[in-house]
Amino acid sequence: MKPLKVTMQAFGPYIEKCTVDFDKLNKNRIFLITGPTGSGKTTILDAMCFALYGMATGENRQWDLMRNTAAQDNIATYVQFEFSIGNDIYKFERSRSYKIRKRKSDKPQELETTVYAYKKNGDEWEKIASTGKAATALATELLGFNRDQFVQVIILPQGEFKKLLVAKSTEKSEILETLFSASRWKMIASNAANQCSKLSEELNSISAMRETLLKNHNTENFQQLYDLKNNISLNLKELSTQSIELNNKLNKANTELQDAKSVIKNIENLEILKQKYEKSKDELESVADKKQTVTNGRKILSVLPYYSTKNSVYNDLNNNKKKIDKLTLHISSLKQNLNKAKILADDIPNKRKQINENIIAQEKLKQSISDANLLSNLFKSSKKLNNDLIILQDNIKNLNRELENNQTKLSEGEKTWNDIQKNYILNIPQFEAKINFLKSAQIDYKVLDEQTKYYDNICNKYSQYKTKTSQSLLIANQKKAIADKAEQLMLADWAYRLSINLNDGKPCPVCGSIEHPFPAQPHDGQAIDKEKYLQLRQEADNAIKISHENTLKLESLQTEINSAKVLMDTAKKNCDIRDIAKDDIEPELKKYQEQLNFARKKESQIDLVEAKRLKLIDEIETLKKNITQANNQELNLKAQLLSNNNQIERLKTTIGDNNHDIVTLEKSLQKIINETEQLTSWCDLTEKNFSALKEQYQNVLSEIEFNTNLNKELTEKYNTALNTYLKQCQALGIANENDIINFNLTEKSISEMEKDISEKEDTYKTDAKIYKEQNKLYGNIAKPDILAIQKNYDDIMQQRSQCDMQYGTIKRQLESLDQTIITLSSIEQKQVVLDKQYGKMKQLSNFLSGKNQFNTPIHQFVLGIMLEEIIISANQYLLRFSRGQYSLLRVDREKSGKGYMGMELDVIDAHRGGRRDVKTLSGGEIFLASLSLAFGLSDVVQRFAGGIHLDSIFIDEGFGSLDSETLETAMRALNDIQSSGRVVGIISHVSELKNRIAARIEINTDINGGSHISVKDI
Amino acid sequence: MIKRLHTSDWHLGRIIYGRSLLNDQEYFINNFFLPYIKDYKPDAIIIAGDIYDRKIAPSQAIRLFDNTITEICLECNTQLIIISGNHDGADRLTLGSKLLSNMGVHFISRIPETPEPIVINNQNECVNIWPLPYFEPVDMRDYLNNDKLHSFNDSYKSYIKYISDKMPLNQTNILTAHCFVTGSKTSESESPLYIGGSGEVHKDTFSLFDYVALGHLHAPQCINNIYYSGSPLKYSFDEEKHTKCINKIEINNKNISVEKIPVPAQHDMRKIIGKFDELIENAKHDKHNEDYIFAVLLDDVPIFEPVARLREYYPNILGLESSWMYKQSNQNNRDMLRKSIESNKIDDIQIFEQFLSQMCGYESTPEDIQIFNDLTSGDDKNI
Repeated sequence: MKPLKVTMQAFGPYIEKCTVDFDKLNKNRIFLITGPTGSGKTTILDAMCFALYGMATGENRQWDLMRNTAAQDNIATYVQFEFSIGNDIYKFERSRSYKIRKRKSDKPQELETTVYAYKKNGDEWEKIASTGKAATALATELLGFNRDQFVQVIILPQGEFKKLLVAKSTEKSEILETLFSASRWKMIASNAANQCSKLSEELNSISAMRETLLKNHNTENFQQLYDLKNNISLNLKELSTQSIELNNKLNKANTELQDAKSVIKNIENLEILKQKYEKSKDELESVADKKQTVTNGRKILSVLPYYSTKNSVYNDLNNNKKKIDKLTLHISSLKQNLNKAKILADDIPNKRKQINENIIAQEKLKQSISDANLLSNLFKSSKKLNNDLIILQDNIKNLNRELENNQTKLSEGEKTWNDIQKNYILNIPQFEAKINFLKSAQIDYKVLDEQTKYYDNICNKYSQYKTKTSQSLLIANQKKAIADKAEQLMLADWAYRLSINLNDGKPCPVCGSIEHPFPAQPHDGQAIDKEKYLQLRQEADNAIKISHENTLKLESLQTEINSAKVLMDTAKKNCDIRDIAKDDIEPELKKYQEQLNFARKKESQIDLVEAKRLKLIDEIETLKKNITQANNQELNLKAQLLSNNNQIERLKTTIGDNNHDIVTLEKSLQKIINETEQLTSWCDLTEKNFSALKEQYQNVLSEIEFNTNLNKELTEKYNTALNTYLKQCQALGIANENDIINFNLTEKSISEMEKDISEKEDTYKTDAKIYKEQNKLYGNIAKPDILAIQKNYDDIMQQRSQCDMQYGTIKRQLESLDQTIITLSSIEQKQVVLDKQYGKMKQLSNFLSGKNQFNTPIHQFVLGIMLEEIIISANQYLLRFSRGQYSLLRVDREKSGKGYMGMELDVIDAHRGGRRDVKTLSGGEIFLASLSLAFGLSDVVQRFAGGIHLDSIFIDEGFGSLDSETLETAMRALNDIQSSGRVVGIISHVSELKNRIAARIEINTDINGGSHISVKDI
Repeated sequence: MIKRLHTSDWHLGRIIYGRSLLNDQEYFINNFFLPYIKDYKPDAIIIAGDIYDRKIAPSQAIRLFDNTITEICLECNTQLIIISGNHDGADRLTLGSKLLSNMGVHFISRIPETPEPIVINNQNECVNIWPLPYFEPVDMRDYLNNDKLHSFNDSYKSYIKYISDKMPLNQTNILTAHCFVTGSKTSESESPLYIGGSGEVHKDTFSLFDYVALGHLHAPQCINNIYYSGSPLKYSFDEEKHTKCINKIEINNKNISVEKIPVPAQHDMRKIIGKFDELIENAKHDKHNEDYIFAVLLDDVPIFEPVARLREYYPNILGLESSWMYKQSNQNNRDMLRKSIESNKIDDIQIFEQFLSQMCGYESTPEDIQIFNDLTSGDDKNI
């Protein structure tokens, strides 16, 4: 796992969103996270762990403990961790937002928690988990570690790095168990123990079963069971014989019973048949009368059609006669009405003629009315036109007047505009130029004043410095003289000292001469030693230096004075050119400014004047247009009026003078119309009436003729039917017609009677036959005692049942015994096998759970191997760190009275040649040993975890406990480790590390208390 | 002729195996270095960095160095050119440098704002010494305003190119710097310039100069025109075979001759290797028993209190290692199991059998194996 990016917000000391971009470390495999105490160094590791597993590195800190309490409520606590595993890139993020609190003192309340995990797919992020649980499980799967393992292997947490080193065997076992999945060995031992218990239980239950089985048969052993079985078998045989005898008896009794029942049944049956026969006989006698009725009825039915025919024809004939009489009466009244209608119809032509005349009169009246209306409208129109004309003529007058006024105003406005232009506006540029000139003159005078002031200042400074310089020069000379003097004295001293030891014949150490004619003499001045001389020389040099500096300063001031003078002269010259006194500038300026202001005011007015003028011109144009329009309108009105008058004259001639009253005309018209309508309707009605009467008369006449012919035919038909009917009656012997009239039976009822009679005769014949036969067979037989026979049968039945029951019971008992014997045999076999299995399992279980000569359970044994492997790997580092002095050793002897655990560590000290407890190491040595163990653990986990890439390890503090030499050794070792490809992140505030590690993540605190991160690679 | 001395990497205040070497360093300075200077009277002395061992040096070390430069300056009339190394606290080293430069003591701990050589004139000979103290690439990026300089090699190249315009090539130009040149021999006592980075500079970078006086590496060596004087004392036991020296350089009509002047040490530093009894026996006759000693015991078994016992003969024994500590592996016959684990060929049954054998004193039977298989059925078979 290689970290790529960590982002935090409102998390730990980070209020604002901060990102650690590990890419910026430019592939440096060792980097340092540094910053003041509490700035948030460890928080970066917490953020990584939190993003993956929802908990920080130490002490199971969760959301509420990680949130920055200074963050505003609307800022969510957020962590995101981006990392790579091989070629795959993943991103885990967790965020919790909070409700806005009413009071800051209230406890923060969670609003929403979101957890997401992503995998990079090209340039896109693919979501692969969206709940806390799923994300944690995914992290465990990807990294191969849960949170505790992650903290143990990837991170060496602050203050906890020595956990693995100094922990007791139990704790070490727990740590290594989770890392190497050794708990499965515990499970194997537990399985063995469970298996043992199971086998023991089974054995117990088999034993109990055996006892129960024997007890069920009140036996105590196999032999007793066998004896019991034999007894039961004998009993069973006897019962079987008894049962067969009883069966035979029962069959016999049953046959007897069945026969008796049969006889009794037949006797009863004969009685029933007798009753039936007598009943059918009585019924046959009762239907004798019905026979006669049926015969008579048949006769009448055959004559009935003739009778009906005869009566029907007779009725038709009578009806026809009545009809003819009725028609005769009707036709005579029709004739009378027809005559009357003819008289009226003869008057219709006259009426039609009158109608035509009325129509003509109507037309004339209508025309008159229309003309009268038109005339009236023309009068009205003329009146209106006259009024409009008068109004229009008044308007024209007003418009002309207005036009005159506007023209006058226009000429006045033009005059005003010319005045302003000429007297004010044209003078404005002059005023402005003058004002600029005066302002420039002002500036020149100002510059002159400043330059003059500056020049005076410089001159003062110069005179001051001159004094100072001469003083310092004096001092320097004095000090130099003193130093020179001191040098002379010192040299004289040295010479004298040398000269004391001079002997003739011995070379001088200075010049090498053997003769010494003029040895140095002591001086009478004060003795000066080298130190004193050097001090004096130093003072002289300093004084000279100061003097020199002052001289330089003076020269520079002189230069300044010269340039100031030049500037001042230039300014004066500029003022002279202006040709105006300084005091005169201000009043002149004021005067011209006033004139300029006034001219500007006038300039602004001219725009108004111009606007007014243009407006007037527009108005005049508009007025002229309106006047022209009005004149045209007047001409139109006049033309219309003339036309109206001409029309009126024409109509007056047409209508006449008297016929103007429209109302009267309309009344007349209406009267004529009504009259015409009445006449028309009378004519139509009369014609219609006459036609209808004529038709009706013809129809009645035709009908009478027809019915007369029909009457003749019916008379013939009746005579024929009567003859036929009389012949039939005679043939069948029907003398009285009343018999036919009173006959009310139908064909159906007669048929039913015939059927009934026939059925009764058949029934009687059948019943009689059966009864005689049965009576022959059973008429003389006596009834048996059925009760006694039944009782006999029942007794035998009961006996047999009892016998069978007994037999069944004993048989079941025997079967049960057999089963018990079989079961017992198999139980005993099984018991033997189980005994053997149990013994073996118990032995193995004891071994696996630690009941062996070393009191070591198997999982501890496995962990011991793992630990040794770790130690071998760790020792490679520790020997390097300690320069061959220390290596770790696993304890394989009993350490405490509580039994052997075998996970504790000693340290071998090469300097002492012996071993001792790791706790005897110093703080710095413990750190190095823990670091070695962590690296060793990491190496071993990577080898065993099969594919888990442990590309990174983070060390949180600990280096502060090392002296500089050991720190140097550790740094060199880490430098070598990073060449193996592993990324090592170190959290430390040790300044030596800061100076030695190229890639750094620096954390600083803001003034608002939050932390911010910068990544540097020198 | 111009005479110069070149030395470097004094590491004043160095502690090795917990023992301060200040006395040895004092011996070197007072008994060799200063008398030699006074005798030889060089025109200039170059100390190419790592004066002190730490950025915050012990006060004794500071006092020692203070006395040294005072004496060189006042009594020897020699230009002293000192550049800071990666171990020195640059700003602390250059206290009073501006004043001292007037007296011929030149402390350079930052890349010079205006690169100028320290010119040594003698009659008709003129030598330009270009000092370049130890720096970080970030400093050179800021100095040359070039964001692309991330390696030491690029940084040196760019700087030399920058100053090459100012170099009078008709004169002798000497560069003094503190870096690691590719192809040089290293020692354990040197610290990598930066953990996690590469501080190497290619040797061709310095081709413009007539002599390159470098510091940082403790072994005296040269590659073309590049010279490491090396540390004057041995600072680790792998320097046992080194002959520590200072370089004497004489320039005559632009011809440069270099001579190594051996430095006598108060205490030599060496390893003694052998079985304990042999070492004790040899110690009895060892005339140089005051040397700093590191013992390597070849015994196969632990020796009781070896350091204390050897100290009786070698009072300055600093460290010891035993070869048997590197070999411990055979513990309770689990070597075979560990080898299986290493090769990832471990088998549960193998562990089970070994457990029974080693812990329970019992040899497993096929029945036991079958029972074990039944117990583990359904679990992951590999650890």
